Amino acid sequence: MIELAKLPMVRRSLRNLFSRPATRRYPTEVRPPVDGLRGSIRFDLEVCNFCGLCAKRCPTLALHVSREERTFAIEDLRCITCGVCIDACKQHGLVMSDSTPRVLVTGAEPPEGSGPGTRLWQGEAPARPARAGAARARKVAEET
Amino acid sequence: MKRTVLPMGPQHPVLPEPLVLDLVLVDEKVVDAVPTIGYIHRGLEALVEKIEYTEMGYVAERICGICSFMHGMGYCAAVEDVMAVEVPERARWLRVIWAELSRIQSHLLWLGLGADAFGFENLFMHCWRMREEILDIFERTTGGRVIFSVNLIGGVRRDIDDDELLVIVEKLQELGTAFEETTRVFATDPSIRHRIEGIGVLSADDARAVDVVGPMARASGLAQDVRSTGTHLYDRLDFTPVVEEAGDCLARVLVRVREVTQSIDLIRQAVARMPKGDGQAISVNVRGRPSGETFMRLEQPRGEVVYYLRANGTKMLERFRIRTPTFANVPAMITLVKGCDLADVPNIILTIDPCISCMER
Amino acid sequence: MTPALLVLVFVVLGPVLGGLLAGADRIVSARMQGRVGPPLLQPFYDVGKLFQKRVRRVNPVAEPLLIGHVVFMALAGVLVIGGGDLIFAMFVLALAALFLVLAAGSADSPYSNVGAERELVVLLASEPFFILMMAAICKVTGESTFSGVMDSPVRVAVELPGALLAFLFVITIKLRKSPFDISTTHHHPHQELVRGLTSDLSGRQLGWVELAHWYECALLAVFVVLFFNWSAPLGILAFVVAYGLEVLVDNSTSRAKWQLVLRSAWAVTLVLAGGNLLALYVVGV
Repeated sequence: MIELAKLPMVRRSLRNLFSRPATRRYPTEVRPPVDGLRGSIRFDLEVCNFCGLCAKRCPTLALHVSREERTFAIEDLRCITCGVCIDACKQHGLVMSDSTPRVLVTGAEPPEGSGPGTRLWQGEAPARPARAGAARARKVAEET
Repeated sequence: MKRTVLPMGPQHPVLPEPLVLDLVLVDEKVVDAVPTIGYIHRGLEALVEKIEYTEMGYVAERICGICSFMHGMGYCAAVEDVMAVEVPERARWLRVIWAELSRIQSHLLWLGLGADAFGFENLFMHCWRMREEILDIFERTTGGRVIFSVNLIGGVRRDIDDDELLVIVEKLQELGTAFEETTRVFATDPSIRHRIEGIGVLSADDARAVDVVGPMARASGLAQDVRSTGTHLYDRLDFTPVVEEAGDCLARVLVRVREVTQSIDLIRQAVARMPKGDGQAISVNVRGRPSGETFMRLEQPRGEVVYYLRANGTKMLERFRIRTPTFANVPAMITLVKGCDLADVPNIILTIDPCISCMER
Repeated sequence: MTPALLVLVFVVLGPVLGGLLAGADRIVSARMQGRVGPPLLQPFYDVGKLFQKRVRRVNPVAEPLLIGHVVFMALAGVLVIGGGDLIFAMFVLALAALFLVLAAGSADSPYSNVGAERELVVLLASEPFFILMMAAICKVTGESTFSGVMDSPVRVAVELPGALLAFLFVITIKLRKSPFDISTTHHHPHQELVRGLTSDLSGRQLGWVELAHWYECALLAVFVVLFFNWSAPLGILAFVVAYGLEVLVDNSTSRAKWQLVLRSAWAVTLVLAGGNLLALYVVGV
């Protein structure tokens, strides 16, 4: 008993025992995201003019933009969500989202030349059949 | 006597990162230790030749997850030095604040690992729980918990508004009060003293001879700290290095314990002395290509780090080299491990606070 | 209850109680560390899963030895409860512990071997006490069987308070709790020996170790009941309190080195248990 009183951690153990735990049951209880969290990149196809400045600045070469094909692709597994592309975008077509998507890799075949987990957008004009556009996007990705 | 070779690592519960230490044991006495490194060499220094100097900061930050802010800051400061960029004052103060926050979280993480090395699971959890509060501050101010991406050549990318700064100081004061209890545990608990007092003693002369840096040197009585040279605005803060004389594992623990309190105080001072008000610039636009070479020194949580950088007027740097604190401290660890008990090995390995991913890059 | 029924109850309910105790231990430990902790039945899920896993045999001799470990641990309990000689049961208990040491030593790995060596040190530290304790209980009651002690009018805990205190100290070793968890730990992953004794055991083999530990816990509870021979519920209560104290100490200390374990266990055995016996002789029982 005398030994116990000498141990400074005993008080902390007892206080913890009778107060609320610091952890939570994670998959069922999720902490709400903090303001300004760098979670993932959101892309707005409507305002993008496919200038490619974001792709040029991206430190990890995760973005593939083609002005001619009007395509924008982001490799989620390469992206480090540093936010440089967002700072670079003059059109405000890229936004930082505080959601951290858990599953990045879909079953879909990634465009050639880019890794798994690539999200591809196809701009409307100049109007072309979607299939041909996707094929060309693959070719573009190959070149970059 | 029969000798046993105990292969400690590359995966081992007490090692936070891959390092191999082949321990030659007679009974439970260590008679020899053969280190092997190179398990997580990623060639990050060579990457400067491949990517633009403006983008390298994000790579430098990923050298190590614990020292991430300091590596980004060191790289950016070195490039700024070469290009003679004048960084806005508020940005420099913000860097000091984040750097000291990094030191607190690194030391708390380490104190937890240290507690785990001597089998004190509850203290490990307790230290990491306190560290979470610092990570929360990072998350709110930079948007990331481990990798912050706030350093930019020419300043920082995010500002912390003045009210938020006061909230942070208040939070840290609370943490400091709660930390007093932990200080008492580390300093007085008899079961901890039994494990680390008088173990792995490095005398001041030996420390100078094997050239240790950081808390390791300060625990052996050498008042050696880059912050006392006054660079990076530290000349405008009241700062005296924390020094312990004993040179054993306990002294190395206590140096870090006291540095947590010291860093809390440094942040309070920095917030009080930085320029306030709206519209303060936090970065300047950097144009052109660097040319020339420089050395940049910083005091990381683990000790002095030296960045060498040579640029030749192109988009890519010619050479980038880091001498990390762990690299300076590992030889001392090997000498200390020889002759101790097997049960002391984890404590000695951990009290140098090895950061293998920094060391190998 | 007849001895045969008691034996059956021990063999079936012993591990159930041991497992529930382990589950409660994990929850209380977690709460002391500020964590939520696992469900109460987690140890049963764990052991159930261990028995489903494929076994990687480092040395084929390990598994028979581990089954021997379980069987002799249960046998020690059966002997105690079923009316066997109490001191003889202590030797069976020591034998059961030796089987685990042999199983660990059979692997050609330095971690297991150093763990086995340390376990021998642990046995050296704790076994003398258990034999002395049983001898003292038999001495003060003048009986040598479980039912004999239980029916004795002598209140053992009153006669042997020193031995009871020493018992509190020594079960820290038996339960493998900090500060005396030098050879292996139960639900703490970290230690300089990785997992010590059980480093090279996997799947079903680990399941046997855990099962034996549950029997051991139940047996320790029976020992406490022996101390409180006038009221079994009081004994069970005392055991739960003692276990709670062990969890508290486990969460408030670091791991000691083996030298200290050996020295302090012997000092406590000699001073408290030995001194207790000596005092009784002087008073003249």
